[in-house]
Amino acid sequence: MIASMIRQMWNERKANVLILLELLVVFSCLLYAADYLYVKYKEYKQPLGFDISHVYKVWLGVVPETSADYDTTAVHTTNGMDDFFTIVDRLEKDSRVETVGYTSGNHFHYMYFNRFATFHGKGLKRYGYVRDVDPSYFRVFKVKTADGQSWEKLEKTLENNGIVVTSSVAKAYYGSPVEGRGKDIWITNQGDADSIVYHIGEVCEPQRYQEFSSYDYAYYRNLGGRDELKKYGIEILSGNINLFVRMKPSADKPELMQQFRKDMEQQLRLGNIYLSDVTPMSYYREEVLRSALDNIRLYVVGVCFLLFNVLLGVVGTFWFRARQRIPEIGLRMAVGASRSVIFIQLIGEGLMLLAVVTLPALLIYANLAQLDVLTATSMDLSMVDRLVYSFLMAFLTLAMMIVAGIVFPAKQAARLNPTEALKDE
Amino acid sequence: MPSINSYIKQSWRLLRQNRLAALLSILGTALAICMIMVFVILFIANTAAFKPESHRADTYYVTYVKTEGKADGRRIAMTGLGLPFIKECFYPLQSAEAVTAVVRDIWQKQILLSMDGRNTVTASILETDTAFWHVYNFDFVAGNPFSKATFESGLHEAVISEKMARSIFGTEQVVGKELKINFQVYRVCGVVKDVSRFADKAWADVWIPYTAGTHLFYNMEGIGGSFECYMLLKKGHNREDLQQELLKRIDNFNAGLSDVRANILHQPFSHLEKWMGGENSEVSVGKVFLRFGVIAFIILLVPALNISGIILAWTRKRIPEFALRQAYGATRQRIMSQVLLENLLVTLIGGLLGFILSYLALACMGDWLMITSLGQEQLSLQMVNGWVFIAVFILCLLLNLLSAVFPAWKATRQQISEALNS
Repeated sequence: MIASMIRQMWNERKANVLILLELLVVFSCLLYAADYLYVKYKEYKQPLGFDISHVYKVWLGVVPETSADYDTTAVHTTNGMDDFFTIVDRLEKDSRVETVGYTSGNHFHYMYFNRFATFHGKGLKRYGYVRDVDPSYFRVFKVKTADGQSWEKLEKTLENNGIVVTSSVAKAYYGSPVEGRGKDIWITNQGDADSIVYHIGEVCEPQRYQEFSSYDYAYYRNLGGRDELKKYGIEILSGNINLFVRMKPSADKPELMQQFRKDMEQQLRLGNIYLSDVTPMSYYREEVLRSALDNIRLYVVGVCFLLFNVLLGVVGTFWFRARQRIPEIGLRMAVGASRSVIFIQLIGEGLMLLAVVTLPALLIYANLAQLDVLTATSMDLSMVDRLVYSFLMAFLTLAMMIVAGIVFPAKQAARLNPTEALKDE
Repeated sequence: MPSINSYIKQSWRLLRQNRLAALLSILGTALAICMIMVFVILFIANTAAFKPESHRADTYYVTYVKTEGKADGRRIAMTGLGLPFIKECFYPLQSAEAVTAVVRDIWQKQILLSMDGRNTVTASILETDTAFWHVYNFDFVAGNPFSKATFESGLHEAVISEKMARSIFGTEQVVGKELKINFQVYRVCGVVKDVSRFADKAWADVWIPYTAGTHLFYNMEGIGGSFECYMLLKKGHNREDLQQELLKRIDNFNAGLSDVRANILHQPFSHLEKWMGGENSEVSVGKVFLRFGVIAFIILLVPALNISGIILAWTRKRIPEFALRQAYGATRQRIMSQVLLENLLVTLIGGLLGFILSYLALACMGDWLMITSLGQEQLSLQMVNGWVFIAVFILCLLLNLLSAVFPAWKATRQQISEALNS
């Protein structure tokens, strides 16, 4: 049967040129797109190293001194940060809130507020970030240790004035994440000319900024206790302190959050501090991921376009062909071929076309890989996996389209009454 | 000699005889044109000039600066621009018609309050200078931009959008009235028409003088800050002039600093570069266009191959007809142009359908397809002008040529006697 399919294809080689060319172009494009989608999927699926579900950013505003609403009573102007900590405590006490935490201006997941740091030692230099946070940060974002334990240990480490480095740092310098525990490391913070030695108290899981970026080299150190922060004026609240709350899952519903916001607007109006907004972390996530997701959507649209064209092409080609071959089909049926044999024969002919272009398409794809135009990724993905997965995806979707395109003409042909078909002759 | 009219009549008849073939080729064409149109419309919306960004082609942007150690070149900070840096290097530029500095906090909206505190709304605020109103071309519904005097003395005046005026005051005629922005009282000096989110540089809800704002901190000897700088090129100068002059001024500025130096890397960027490369990569425009070209070519090629196959099957049936006409003296060119013309009808119908489809696609799937580009704003028709129609027509011709030349050529290559025999 396969031999007869090949013979048939050879006989129609001239008519097949165009559809073969189309399949070749589409196959190559699909391989490229499938690889892109595979890489993006893999990137997306990697753990982030933090958890933003039910977490909100609390935006506090400070009434400026020039405003008529500015509260000049002595207690508020001299001890503004007391008001901030009262706010933290009030949030903490609210029955809807699970926990509260804050970071300095240089750390905010998804938003690229950074302070750079360079790690040194063992002849290695790694560029990364310094993140000044309150120990409560780990609790709010549920950051785990490198060996998968919950945040308590990380929180303790900062409280004891050790630093926490991400697994990426520990792995680069000590071979494995857990080996980093208890070691000393030299770090230059952005802006400083000299490096300082820090004691690594604990290593946290690998972290990255967002779903499509690579793992960062970063370390966390204590922002300073309450007494330390009280030295500053409340001006540092605008831009230099980020306040977050993790809501209880039961309280994290849109209508309940609206009520929460309203309640807080009253409760958190303290001295010259006011609540300006409560924004879910998912908002920042969406903002940052937008362009990446847009790109993925464009690829999906492109793939659908190509597949739909293949469908049209196959329907067109096989419709005419099945008609031209009505006498032949009639004859076959007359000598005993069943309907399903005719049906399978036609589908087989279509898939044979795909088989013919597979090798050249793979060659084109291999060339693209050589030229380095395939999707670049910072992730460690095996090239073999990428090739196998993208090939399977491209081949199977194309095969599906071809079968779908032939089913209709083939059904028509197989439904023929042999006597009528032969009458045409 | 048959007129074009008769060709059209004949191809119409052919279409009706071969319904499936006609349907397939029209669908194929429509889809291809629709795909390309969506890209073209988005490209135009993102790059072509429209109010208030009327001078996009001549506007250049510097949005960040790298502060380096003077002695060792180490990276100290990557930030927005500081005011002293701007005053020293950007404002005096001779090759620029106008230079404006802005502060935009994209992450945090501010609270707008009516004086009685009853109406409140969150708004995006842009802090800027008087040159801003020269670089961008706003439609004022009432009032004027804040004046130079206002700006210099840091008076609290604000230009607000129609939408803001309506939500705070309930009307657009609000010049001279007061409102609170972050608890500070501002006087409204002008109301402008709402700005499309596509105009992402000029866009905001409220514009105030940066001298009245709170963003005046600077650091690193004045290099770093929270400003961005937009420059409108002066007539008779080109980009090179601007870049050279800017670099020279920055060198002078750096010479006066003690420990650090400013580096603007590959900036200033043109609007096109900024759109293509995002915020901080140096993408070559040529490469991006090459990529666009390849994509457009594939989008056209695949359906063209399809339609070609269909026309081929269809003209094969008519070979005796062509041969007969050749026997009666029709030249090869005439027959080829007949096939091409006949096919053009199909392509044009498909093109028109695709054109309509592309608008439908943007209207229905805009949210899903390209949220970044469309923002919360729907596409407005005024951004799409006659050029788009011309583009569609040219694309149709291209698709037609791509798909019909080969079958037309094949149809006339047949030997007359042979063809008549069959």
